[in-house]
Amino acid sequence: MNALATLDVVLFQAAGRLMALPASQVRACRAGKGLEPSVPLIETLLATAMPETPYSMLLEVVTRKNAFSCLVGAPVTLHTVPAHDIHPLPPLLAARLSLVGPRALIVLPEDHSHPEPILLIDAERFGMTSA
Amino acid sequence: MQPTLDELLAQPRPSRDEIVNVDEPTRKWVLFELSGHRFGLPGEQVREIFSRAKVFSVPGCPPSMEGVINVRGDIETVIRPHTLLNLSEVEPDRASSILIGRGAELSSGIRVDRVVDLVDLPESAIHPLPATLPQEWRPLATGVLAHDERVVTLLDLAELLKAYARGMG
Repeated sequence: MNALATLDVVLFQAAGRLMALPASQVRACRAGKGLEPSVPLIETLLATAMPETPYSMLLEVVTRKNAFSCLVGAPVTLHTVPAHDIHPLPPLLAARLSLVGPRALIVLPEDHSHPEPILLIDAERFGMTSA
Repeated sequence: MQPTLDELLAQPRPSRDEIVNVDEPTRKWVLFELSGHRFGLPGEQVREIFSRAKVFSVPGCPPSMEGVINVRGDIETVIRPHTLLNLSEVEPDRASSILIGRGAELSSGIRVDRVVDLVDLPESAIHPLPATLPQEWRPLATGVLAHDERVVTLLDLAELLKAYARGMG
């Protein structure tokens, strides 16, 4: 399998669900306890009012224009996902989804430990200034 | 002298092309129920019908979107059209089905309370929209017909999906 046939993603908990960022947009990950309150929660960036996740990890996110940190739920893990398991958002979902940032859905085989679709977030879509 | 039966049967027969087909063209319809009302979708807009399918919820969806299903590698949304049609919500049960449909470059699963029938109907069976048709249904409806002594409102899936994508329902 060549490099273009897979995508490395960082999985984390947000809004009570498993979500992902491309690993290329995550510069570092560290324990997030005792951090200054100015670090935004991932739910704030996603513009969701859903139940918050217990935050325990801090992700340093980098985009083409910004670098910022955000708090996400543990565990934070790195996975390599085959391209054929990454699907564009279905058109009605793209039209009606209220979250900011989702770009695609990762749908792993049913026998995988994460059979539920995972929202793949594109941090470029957060549109925030450096934090 | 008359030909024998063998000679008669051996004679060339008129070509089938000479037979004039007087049957009226028919169109397939998928008939279903939503909150006790009957509706129909053109058969060519319905790709598949699932009586059981695992629907995965997606955070951030409107309440009328159940989530997504995996149709042999294609990910499709599943919407409940009840709100769009101003109908009371019915919780999915064993009788409910998901119609996978496509129209206007949009595709989605449509949750229906029950599939009633798949029928071939001539164009003459379809009547114009009656004045009594609810206002919310008019932009989505193409006609009505009678089936099993019930009125069936025929919908255009393309219009339904476009309306949903615009934020209705």
